[in-house]
Amino acid sequence: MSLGRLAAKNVWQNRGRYLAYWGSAAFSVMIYFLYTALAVHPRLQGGFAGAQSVAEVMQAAAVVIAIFTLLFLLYASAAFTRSRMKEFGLLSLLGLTRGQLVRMVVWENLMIAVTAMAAGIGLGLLFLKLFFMAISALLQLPAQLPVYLGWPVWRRTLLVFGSIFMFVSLLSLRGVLRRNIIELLRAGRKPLERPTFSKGKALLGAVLVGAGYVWASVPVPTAVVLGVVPVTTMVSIGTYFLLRETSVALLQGLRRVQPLYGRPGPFLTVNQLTFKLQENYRVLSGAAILVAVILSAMGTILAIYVVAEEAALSSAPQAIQLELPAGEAASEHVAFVDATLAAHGVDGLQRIAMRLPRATVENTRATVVPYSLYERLYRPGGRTLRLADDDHAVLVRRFSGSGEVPSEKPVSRRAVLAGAEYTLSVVTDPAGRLLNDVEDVLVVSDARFQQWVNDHPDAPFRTVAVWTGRNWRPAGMEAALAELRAKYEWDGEAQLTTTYEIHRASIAQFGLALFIGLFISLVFFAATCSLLYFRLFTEIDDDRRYYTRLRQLGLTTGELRGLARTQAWVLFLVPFVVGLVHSTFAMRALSTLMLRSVLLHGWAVAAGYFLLYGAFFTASFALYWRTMGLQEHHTVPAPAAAS
Amino acid sequence: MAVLEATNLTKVYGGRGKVPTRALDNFSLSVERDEFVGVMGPSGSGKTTLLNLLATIDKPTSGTVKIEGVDTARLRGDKLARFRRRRLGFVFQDYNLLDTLTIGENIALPLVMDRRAAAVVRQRLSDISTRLGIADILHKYPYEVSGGQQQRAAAARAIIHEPAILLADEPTGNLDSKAARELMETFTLLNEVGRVTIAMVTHDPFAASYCRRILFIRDGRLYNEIHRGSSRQEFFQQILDVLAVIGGGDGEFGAAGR
Repeated sequence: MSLGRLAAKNVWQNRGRYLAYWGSAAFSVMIYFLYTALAVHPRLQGGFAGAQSVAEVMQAAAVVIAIFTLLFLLYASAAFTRSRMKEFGLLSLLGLTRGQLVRMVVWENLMIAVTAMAAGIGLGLLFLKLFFMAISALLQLPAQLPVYLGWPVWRRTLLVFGSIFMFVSLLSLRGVLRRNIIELLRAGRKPLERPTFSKGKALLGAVLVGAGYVWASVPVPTAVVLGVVPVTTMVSIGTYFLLRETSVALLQGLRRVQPLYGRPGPFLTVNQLTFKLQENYRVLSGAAILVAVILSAMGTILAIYVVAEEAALSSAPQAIQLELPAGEAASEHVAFVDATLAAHGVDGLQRIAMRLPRATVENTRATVVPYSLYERLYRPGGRTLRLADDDHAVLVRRFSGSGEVPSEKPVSRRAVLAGAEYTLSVVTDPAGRLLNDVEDVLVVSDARFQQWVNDHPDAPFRTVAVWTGRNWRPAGMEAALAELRAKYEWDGEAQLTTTYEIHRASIAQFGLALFIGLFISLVFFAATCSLLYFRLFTEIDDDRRYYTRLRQLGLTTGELRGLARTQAWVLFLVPFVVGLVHSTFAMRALSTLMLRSVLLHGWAVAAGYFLLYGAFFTASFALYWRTMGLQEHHTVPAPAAAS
Repeated sequence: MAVLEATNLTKVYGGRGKVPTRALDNFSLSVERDEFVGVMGPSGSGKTTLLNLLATIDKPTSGTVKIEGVDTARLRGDKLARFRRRRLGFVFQDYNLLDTLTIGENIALPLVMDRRAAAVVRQRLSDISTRLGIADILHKYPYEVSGGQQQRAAAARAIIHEPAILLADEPTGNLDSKAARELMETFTLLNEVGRVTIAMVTHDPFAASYCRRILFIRDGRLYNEIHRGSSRQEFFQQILDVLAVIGGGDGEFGAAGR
């Protein structure tokens, strides 16, 4: 058998372990490939305003991914090599020369690297078109980017990942070559460390994490912005210390809880976990930080989306509002808009066209609106106040929460309409705008409105048509608006304002950041999952020995599976829980910046994440248990090899 | 009354296209209460197959194994596992202690698995560890003590739940001669004072000389059976004589002189 064949066989035999390594490498290659294709896109080299910045941000994101992949592969390959030391030792003992060993390892790494890169680039090619379409839409680019696959994209991807794989494989070779045969043979089984608890480290960790949390909770935006880097650093380092010490302390404490500890499950699980947590705290705290980053990033993205929608609705509560210049007849325009909406199948909006007089209330301009209209116009979260009689009125302020104390009790106000003065008992409605413009609205009873219109035909009038409704983005809206906008330009005489366009503009402003946040989160998610998967599979030989022994002592296969499942689950949950707590404080800080609580958004994201994570756990545990091979009852390896 | 009764055990490996190997051929064995029986034979003679069948971790092609009158072939899956955990004790060549439990916890494990009261567990643990001379290492982890101590801990674990029979597979295989002697003296003590029934598979004549009776097995069949008289030295010589005849041509018994 040639060395190449031996290497291929090794890879195939260890495929369960290689899978995570290979999969996340391929995934990173794909993302890097896509980002690079965008970063070096000729259309983004100054083609339009802001194009250059898109290219630069993409470049930076690609660098982050490359560095991250390098770190991940270094960890994974070190763990992997360690778990195979014994095999290398045995091959050396059997007479494989150093040169042959090197060639075998190089062959293995080469196979992994070439196939991972091929798969990554293949996937990249598959998704390239979709990626370009998505990014053009998200960033509101003037024209859709054509697919670009120039030589620089290939060169960069191959060069960067080729060097990463080469570097990683050289380092793993160094680990093998530095040891002699005996060390290699012994390295397979790492000696266990007795569980120890360090008060100093626990205290340091608690202080760092605690201080980070306190800083993040300071309700001052400036403090939050200044804290981003130091708090992240403090909490990351703190997690590293705190995770190990608290878990050891907690599990040692559980040993003293006799009623719990005296049961077989907890008895075995507590002991096994003490060692596993102690050995794996580095990986677990790393994974916890990654989870925290993912949850915070995704929580922020969700919050921005939700806030953008709320902001759009509060500045333009009416789905479509068309204000016509004075004296122009509304019917023709209204018919045009109606026809356009109908042509694009836009449905569900109620049209109201009215002539509204303008008055002043205490020297501030206000549009006068009859009560029946006030009731019919859709306003998110706005409740309709009641009018006691014709002398009462509601003043809807143009800004919500503008510091003015809303008066539930009517206040006497002076309103002037075409020179005539009226005194009304006015209640202030602070729940936000009624119309899509920056003007207060004075709501009077229908009778008074009719009387004013009749009495003052010479008053200044606004001709306003609104299409109102809860759903401001029904199907066909985008196409219909494109057509309307062609007729009613932004600076034209007739003014068209829509919730849809305001929302789109604010999303476009954050679009790039959101998109990159999403993709980096995806890479981190893949990395977290494969870190944990990797940990599971690195220990499979030790675990198999452990469970085989337990089985010989008379534990049933079902009981063993339960034990293994609980343990694996705890080791998956620890990073999630720690990450969730961290991200909750991050969301608290974000709440300070956004002037509203976004904790719920963070938790919604966490719930979604947990579902994915749980599915991943279930799949990898099933694979792990199958690879362990304990389920068939009668193929137990004989207790002793001899005789 | 026989604690363990194996009748006409036959085990055939392979089959379906492969050349079948008859590892055990109509072998019968009966172990009485309080006995200390050894099984010896050259490599490939079927010793380990026999022990696996007695330990119920493998099933015979034909024949029955009864432990305390219970036909183990009638027990399946979980019931069998539970039966094994309550009625059998094991000592293996490589100790098989769990690295993540202290010596004391390892010994207590069978009782904990049976959900016995903490007070009972403590009492038994202290009795047995004192008897076996390992009371001062209970809080240590297996990798912190010597092989001999680990094997005595394994013996303590094997008997703490008072099994019907203690099955030992090459228990001295990984021990040096001093530790092997101590372990066999422990076995003798357990057998004579503690009235523990023991069946041990070994190819170490020195360890075997502590047994009261030895069955020799060759090619899956009973070859010879000898009983110990008053002197262990004489018995040792007797064993060597039988082994010289069985021979088998392999050098396995070269280390017999220790």
